[in-house]
Amino acid sequence: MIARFALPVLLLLALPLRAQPLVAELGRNVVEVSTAFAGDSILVFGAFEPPGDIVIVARGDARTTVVRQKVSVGGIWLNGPSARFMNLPSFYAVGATGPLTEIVDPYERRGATIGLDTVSMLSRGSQDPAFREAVIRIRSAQGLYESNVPVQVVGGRLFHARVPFPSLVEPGSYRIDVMLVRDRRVVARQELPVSVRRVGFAADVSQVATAQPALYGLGCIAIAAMAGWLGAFLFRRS
Amino acid sequence: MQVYLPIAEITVDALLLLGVGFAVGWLSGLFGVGGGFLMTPLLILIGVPSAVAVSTSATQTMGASVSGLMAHWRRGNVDVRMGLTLLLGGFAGSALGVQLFALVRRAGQADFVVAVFYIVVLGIVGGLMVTESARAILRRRKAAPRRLHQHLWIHGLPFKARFRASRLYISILPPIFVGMFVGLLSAVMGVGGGFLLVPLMIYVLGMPTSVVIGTSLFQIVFVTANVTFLQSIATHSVDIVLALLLLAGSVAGAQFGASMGTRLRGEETRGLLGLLVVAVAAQLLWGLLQRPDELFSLMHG
Repeated sequence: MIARFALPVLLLLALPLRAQPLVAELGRNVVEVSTAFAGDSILVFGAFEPPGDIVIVARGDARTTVVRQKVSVGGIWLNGPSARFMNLPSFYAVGATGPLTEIVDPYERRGATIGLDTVSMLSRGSQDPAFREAVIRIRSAQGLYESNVPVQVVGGRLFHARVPFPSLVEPGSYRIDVMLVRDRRVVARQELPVSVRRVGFAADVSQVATAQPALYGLGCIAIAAMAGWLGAFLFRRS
Repeated sequence: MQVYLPIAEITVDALLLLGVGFAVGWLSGLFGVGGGFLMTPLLILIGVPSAVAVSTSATQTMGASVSGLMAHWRRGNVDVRMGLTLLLGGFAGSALGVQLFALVRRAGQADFVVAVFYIVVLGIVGGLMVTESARAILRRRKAAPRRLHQHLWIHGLPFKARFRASRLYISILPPIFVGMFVGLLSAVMGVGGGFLLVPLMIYVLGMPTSVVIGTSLFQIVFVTANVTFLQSIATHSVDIVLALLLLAGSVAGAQFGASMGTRLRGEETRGLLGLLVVAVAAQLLWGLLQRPDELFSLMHG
């Protein structure tokens, strides 16, 4: 693991740091979701001109998400009130070299959506705060919302962090923002795109299933029938 | 070994899926049913979204039933004419069911509706099976002479046809309705409906036991194929990777189950199957009555 970023870090050391207060790079800019995908992480590394703190924010596409609450009706639990969240990020991870509320100004945090509490939670339907709390709680449990990605600083000016992408991560365009914070203000920022995409068989399956549903359905029938036929054949032999 | 399911969009242990497939296949081999009524709740329990669980277990039931159908076909235990009549209703019923399922899904009540269907259908069928087999076991010693079939009101219906393999001359309306009813449940519950079709064929249609399993498999293969096709188009929720893993397990499991099934008597098999069906219904009912750990759920809108 060390070897994977040792070389790029050494290269960064050679960069003329005077020119830019912040230089950041990703170990990779693609997360490949194959049939063997069980989660992945992306290395974020770089150098900055001290003093200051490093803040890393990773986020996925904004999506409309419906949150439903189960209520007891005559002793039976069923889906009752719901809230429809617009522009809810499918993924959000934040990490910093210090406590966010202390190192960044609250207005600055809201403007740059630094911290889970600043994520846009505009919703229609029920305005009960329990719905917002449920979003954070469920997504955090799934590893899709992460508020404490560890960011390490080496030698006062080099930093590195690993942004974890859990197995539930959705394909789409993601962005990792690396920010240098001084005196509670963001003084430099770098936006690094990451694409999460299905590859290989998994990609083919979902592509065919959505683009050619009739063909896919017929294919599934044929494959399942073949598998069953093979089973009957084996059964006859034994 | 972890495997990513491209349609369910979750990562699951492949061995767990093979194990679930094997267990369900074993039971289905033992009892001569597809096992979809066990598969769907188990998949939901594992964390597969309920729409994917319903559609994919229909696909797996289809594959598993193909094996069984071929074995019965070779032995001439399939009443094709009856099968086609049932299928006529089955196609209509499953088309209706897929629409109904899409509707309740939009209303956000898919989980609840699926659970209620399961509890009601499994509760009634399982209860009937247990009481019927208990009565049959008690009656066995007396060896009362049994009539070929009883004359019921359904024998007075029009559009009569001869079903040679079943030795029946009845109206085609009851088989069509039976097929339609089972087809509807097949789409909503992701089951083949064998556990329902077999008793209906015996008690309502009066078919001889020898052709019942083969003919029900005939109907199940085509109805679940239809459900697979319609769900692929309407809800994009058939996961072929999941279906294949389950099939691999269930095809192997069915061999062991079937060889064990031959050592059990008919009444006992039906009684055990009935108990299993009731147990699944009770478990699902408990799930509805119990306060869930997490009251909230997220869904893409």
